[in-house]
Amino acid sequence: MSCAEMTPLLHGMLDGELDAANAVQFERHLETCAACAAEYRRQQALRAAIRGPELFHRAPEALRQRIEAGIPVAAARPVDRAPWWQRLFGDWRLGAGTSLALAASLLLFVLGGNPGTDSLPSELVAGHIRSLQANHLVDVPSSDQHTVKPWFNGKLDVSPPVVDLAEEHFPLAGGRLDYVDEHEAAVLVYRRNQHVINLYVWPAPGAADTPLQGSAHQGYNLLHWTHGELSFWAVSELNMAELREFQALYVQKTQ
Amino acid sequence: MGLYSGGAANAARTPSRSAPRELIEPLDSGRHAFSNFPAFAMSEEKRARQFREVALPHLDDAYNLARWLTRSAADADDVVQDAYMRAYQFFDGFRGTNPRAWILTIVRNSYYAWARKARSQAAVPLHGNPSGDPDDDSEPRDIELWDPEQENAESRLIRKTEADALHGFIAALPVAFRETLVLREMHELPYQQIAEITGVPIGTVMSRLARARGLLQKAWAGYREKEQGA
Repeated sequence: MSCAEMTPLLHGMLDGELDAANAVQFERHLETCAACAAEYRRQQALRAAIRGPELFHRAPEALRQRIEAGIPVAAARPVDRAPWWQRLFGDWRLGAGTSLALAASLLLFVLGGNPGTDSLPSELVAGHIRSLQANHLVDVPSSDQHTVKPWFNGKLDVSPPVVDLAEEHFPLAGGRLDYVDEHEAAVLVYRRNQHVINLYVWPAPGAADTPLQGSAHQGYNLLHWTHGELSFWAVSELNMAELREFQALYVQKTQ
Repeated sequence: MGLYSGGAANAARTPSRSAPRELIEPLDSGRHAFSNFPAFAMSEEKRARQFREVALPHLDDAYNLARWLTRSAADADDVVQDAYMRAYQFFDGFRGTNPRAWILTIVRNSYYAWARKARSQAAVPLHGNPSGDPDDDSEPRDIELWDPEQENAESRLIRKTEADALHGFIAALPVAFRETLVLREMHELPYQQIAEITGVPIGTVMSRLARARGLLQKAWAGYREKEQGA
């Protein structure tokens, strides 16, 4: 693996969020790569400095006393005594619809400014690598297409075709939300033995259907096609032959 | 209506994306078992006592997060006080096993409510830097936390120790990066909980952390080089 692919692993390692396989892979890389080993040491030193006691602000005693005094000892409900809380309460009642737009807009600038993710394939591969870290693969773990498909409803303005391919030995593992190329994307996760296939789907309004395009990026295989105003990207460490087999089955079963 | 209008709603209204799952799931046992009963079944006295037990131990956490979000001791006081009042008000709705994450979520919501209000009341932006605005995507691509050209005798005096310098660099991070970093490094929360508190996917937590650490590393290295050279 290249050093660029190590970045998500480096932070995962630092944060104790890697599974055993990725941790071993990362440690092996450090043994052979002085640059990554130095970067890892620098990040460890920075963390130690950030966690120093000087940077943690403890609550002042006066504030603690004020808050304790604010908790009623008995009798009336505080909401009755302090109607201005109800005005604050109003802040909690804002529409939920804006939150998606908010999250999306935040991501646009986070991802947009990320060095090294200038091309869509590398963004997809980075997303794939992140998904392989422990517990990040799926938001909705289910092999049941009738669970996974409705899960996306209301989260995205796309409803990806979902089908379980367990009988064809590509079992559905679940779904999650991701952000790619300034889109919110539905990701369907399939497995092939110990390998993972991330199938990214996002809307492509007005786009004509395009034929299948295959590419390899940083040692991963990618397949891209457009169908029914949806853009599809399959990303996997699986060899291209099997990935194409998966793609053909998926298309066949969802049409 | 400002651009930003979803902070509080983010965590409070869209459970599948943002509200901590454990804050919703009922407890089957333990000291919070009371919360399975309707709120009116609990006397005010009992409610207050249980709130003290559950919420007060996390006051330092609450204050630290508020302090890093507001970057001001006085404002952090206000935000924490507001958060604890909200927390008490919503205490009957708390069913979780993780009161610290619950409190931190409310502190964050209080901060964004406060920031919105402060912005709507200010005739002109308070800061040239838009980093107080959670959805301001006009952030320059090339963020510099430390600019040696801007360093003068006064700022050197303020940054008299390395910890002070680092403090300044973290405070200069855009708020989305800052809160992610603070929740991870100072509150030592796992990615999953940070994602729930901040209402974004885990992948975003990871990219924000990487970005924040990259920016800090760069500023930190520049500062140390200059200090050692000086």
